[in-house]
Amino acid sequence: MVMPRIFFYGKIYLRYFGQYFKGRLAYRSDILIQMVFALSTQITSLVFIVIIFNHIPDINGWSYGEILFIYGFAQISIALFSMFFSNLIQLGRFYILDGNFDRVLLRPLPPLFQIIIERLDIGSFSTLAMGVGALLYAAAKLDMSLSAVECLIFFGLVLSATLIFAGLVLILVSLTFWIKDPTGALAWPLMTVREFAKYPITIYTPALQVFLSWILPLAFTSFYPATLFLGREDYVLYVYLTPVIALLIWGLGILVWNLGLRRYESSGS
Amino acid sequence: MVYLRKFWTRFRIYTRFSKIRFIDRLSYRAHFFLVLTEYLLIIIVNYFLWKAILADGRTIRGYALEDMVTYVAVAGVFRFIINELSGGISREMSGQYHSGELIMNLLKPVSYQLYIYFRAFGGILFQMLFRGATVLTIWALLVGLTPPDSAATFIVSLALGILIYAGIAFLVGLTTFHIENNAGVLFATTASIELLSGTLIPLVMFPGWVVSILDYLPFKMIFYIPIQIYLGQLGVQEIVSALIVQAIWAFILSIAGFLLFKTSVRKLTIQGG
Repeated sequence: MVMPRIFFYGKIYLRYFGQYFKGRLAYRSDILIQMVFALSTQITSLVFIVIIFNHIPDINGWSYGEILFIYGFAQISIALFSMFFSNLIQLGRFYILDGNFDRVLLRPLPPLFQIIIERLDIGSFSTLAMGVGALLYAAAKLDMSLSAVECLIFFGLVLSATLIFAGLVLILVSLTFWIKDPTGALAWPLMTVREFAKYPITIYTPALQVFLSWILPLAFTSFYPATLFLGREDYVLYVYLTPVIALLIWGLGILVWNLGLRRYESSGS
Repeated sequence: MVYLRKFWTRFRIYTRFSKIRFIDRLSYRAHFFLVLTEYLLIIIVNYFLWKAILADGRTIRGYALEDMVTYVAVAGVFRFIINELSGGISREMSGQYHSGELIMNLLKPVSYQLYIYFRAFGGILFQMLFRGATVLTIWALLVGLTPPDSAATFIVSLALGILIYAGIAFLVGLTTFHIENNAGVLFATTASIELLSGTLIPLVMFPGWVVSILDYLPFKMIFYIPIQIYLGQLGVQEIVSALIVQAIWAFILSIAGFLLFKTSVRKLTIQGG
């Protein structure tokens, strides 16, 4: 019973994706512009790392390869989030304020699923490529070789990291049902705080480390899972916790979403 | 005397545009704090990075941690100016082009370029008085801030830097008249300005060949020269020649904007309005 359901959703996803992609191909230069945009917001931190390591051997005991690996991991999870989940941020304005949420509610599919699949940020493909590039370069620099199982673990951790970020955004945007917020500003600070997660969290003060691990667990979207492949034993427990936290945050997100959904009142337009 | 009075009357007209933008910016309170937090967070990340990079008294090309503590704060605040200029000039121009509002502004008996400049200056004044001052005060209390080595020359140099970027932003805005959708150009320039003007990293830290290329470009005049004056890294003679080069660049870029605007406006097609 469960499997056919997953196939059904998968099929719908591909249909939506196909339609969306066809629509976007009509404006090909727009796709290019979005790629330039995504790249222009994310490339500066990479340039920063590259330039700094011309001058110093390590940052806080982390070598060039290690920093690049953590950075690449963070970048990949950020890009995957932007690609598949960034439409969540539109909830306040496009869906609730402009009345599009009524249309979503009328259709026989879970509203959350519909909102997630209605838009795909193709522009983030450029930052995904950048993240993968940084990661591969770092892996080569560190003489890293992964077995098939380790590769599977890697993909599982990347997925968890993406889900943690998406779950946090889901929790924050679901608050829009209570706080009328047309700008999508609620999730905005999160977009900035994730800058912190691009670097080893050991460079921050202990209080900040606790904050990034247990209050806004962004360290689990990059630093902790990445350490598994860097051969650092101190964080193994955190690596195992990553998928657990992903599930917890998604569960919490869906709970807040469902509570908020009950409070939804149409904008009446 | 007559010319002076005429000039003054014109100037008063343009300052009205600044005032309108200034008041306009005042009206978004919640947005104000959100953006403030966002910029402060970026400064904090950069601070921790430099703290780890320059730990144990390490220096890179003469920059020690004390210098970078001030550097990241001033650079972080300068990003308000960069965003104000790319938003208030380049994006404003393409917005006016697409909405057709441009034609109403062309009909007015004022220079479009100066109208755009002065509006942006109003926005900058807002950014500096409220956001910039708040961030720097918080930073001074929280971490510490070295006051400028020579406040007067720093302000002159900063003003020239702003004028140079205004010139560049106006040229970027003009591309919309030719290629309609100039968003890609806009994003790419904003990112390159951040890198090449020195707000991300002191320019001396770039590889040598990049530094020597940057000497011939206007980008380092936007922020790197002012911050060097702030930190007291330039001698009197160097300051004088830097200010002269800044003034020359500001002049060249604005004249280029003036001439290109004249030719662009002749073959301008506007839909709607």
